[in-house]
Amino acid sequence: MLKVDLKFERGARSFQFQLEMGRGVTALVGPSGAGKTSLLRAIAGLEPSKGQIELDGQVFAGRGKASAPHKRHLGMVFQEPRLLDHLSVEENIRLGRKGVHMSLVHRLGIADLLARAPQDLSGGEKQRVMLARALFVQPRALLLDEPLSALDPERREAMIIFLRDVFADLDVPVLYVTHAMEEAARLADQIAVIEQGRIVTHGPTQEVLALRADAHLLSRVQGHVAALDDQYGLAQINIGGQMLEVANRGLDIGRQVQLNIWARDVMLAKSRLEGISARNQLAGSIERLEAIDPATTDIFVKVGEARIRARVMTKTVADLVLAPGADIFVIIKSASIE
Amino acid sequence: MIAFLPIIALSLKVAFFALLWALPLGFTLGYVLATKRFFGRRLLSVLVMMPLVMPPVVTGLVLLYVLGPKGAIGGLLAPLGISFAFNAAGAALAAGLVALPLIVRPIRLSFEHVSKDLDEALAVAGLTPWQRFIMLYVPSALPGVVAGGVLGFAKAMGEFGATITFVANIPGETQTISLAIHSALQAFDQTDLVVWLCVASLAISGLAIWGSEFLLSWLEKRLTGRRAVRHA
Repeated sequence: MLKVDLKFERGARSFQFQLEMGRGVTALVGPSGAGKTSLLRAIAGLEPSKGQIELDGQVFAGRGKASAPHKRHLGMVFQEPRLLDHLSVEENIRLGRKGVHMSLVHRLGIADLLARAPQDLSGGEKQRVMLARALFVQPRALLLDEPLSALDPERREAMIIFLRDVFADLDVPVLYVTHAMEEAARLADQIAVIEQGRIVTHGPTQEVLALRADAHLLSRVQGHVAALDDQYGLAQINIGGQMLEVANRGLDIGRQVQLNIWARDVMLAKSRLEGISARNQLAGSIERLEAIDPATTDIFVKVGEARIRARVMTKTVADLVLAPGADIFVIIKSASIE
Repeated sequence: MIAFLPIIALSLKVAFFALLWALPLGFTLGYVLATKRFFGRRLLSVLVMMPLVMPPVVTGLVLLYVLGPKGAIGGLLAPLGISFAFNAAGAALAAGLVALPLIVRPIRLSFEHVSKDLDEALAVAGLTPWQRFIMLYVPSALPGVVAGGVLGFAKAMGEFGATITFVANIPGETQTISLAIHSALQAFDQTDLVVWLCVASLAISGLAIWGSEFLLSWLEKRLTGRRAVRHA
């Protein structure tokens, strides 16, 4: 159990955090400057703070005393890899500490890299080495500060899938800082939303996602993976008999998936469009219209069992003569898969 | 020509013993000045750098007043049988003191360039300050130690003003290359000795710089990613 009750100031801004967490992954989500990183660094003992930090009954900081970072038995992965260039990968993991690491490095997929020099590794490999260093001495809590921010989107995707497996085996609190709600949603059991130096929401991931002010703009569509196109790296998702193509990121045929589609990523057409780049067109019928303001209208389209929300200009409604019951084609510009 | 080899040997000996005390002290001072914040840090920095800008003759005089046979500290040491007056030990003391600023500077710069981020990462990983010093600070400072050592050695070899003021110009005792050249120039028949001493000192300086270049580029390879501190 990690208990945090902290106050600190950085320049003109003040921060106040109260947080309790057990084993499992808690994501700290918020915009940059909200204080996520400062909170993590205060827990690690790298920045001074007022208040109390307690882990499994041991007080790290409180009543004017603070134990040094090296006495806290934590593991930490930073935004950028922090490896010693004059040591090998294995020495970077060990750092002269005693212990056995073979099962760990196999699990992290870096067993072949042990003899290499850090500068010969890719960004994703370096972060896995950092993770191995953090987990080497069985830390009592694992702290991660935007560990994927230096990676390109493809490697980030692979690392998210990888981290999910690693986190599942851990029996300690994991605190994961990110500014991307999507990343948090996929990795965390709990989400704490931080705004302007305070935790504004904290709860199970699904509940926090549902609380978002714009959650109603997200359409959720169920389907299953029908076919894979290895040549172009695409997966075909069967949605009530209609096919949608998305980029394949480790999907298997037959797997149930949920597509999240934002209302602004949807276009409408009266007939099936030819010769456009959007590969994702679904036939449906208009269920109802909802005027948001004089210029904007949301249109709900029934596609099989699913309902997709589209945000269009009111003038488009008039131009296309859109009315409930009319047949319509939904063109999806992008969708994320869960 | 008879005196040639003993002069070279004495110079090497004086420079060696100068480094023997000034290099460890320079390493410590470089570390303390680069990483610690304490009252009087600036004053210490100024004191260490003073011999670089002071006229060497004045440095020699200060040594004479402090550590000379009748000096404040020298007077106390004399009954213990420790004397720096007019002997090789005094020459090594003067040469080391004048070389000290040149030794401290590159070492201090190396320590200042040690990444705070790496230090933090090692601390969270459970390494004590001493373990971090051995694993991170010492390897990072090695190029500075080589650069400072070579600079200090060259300075100690060539020292003139402080040496002649503090321990005089005694053949076989305190007469190093520079002092011997000075004496030989004043004699009428020692032009050969002057030339040979010049050639020898050029060769020794050249070899030292050449060797340090090798050592630095080797270190650079070992510590890749971090640029070695050159003679700056």
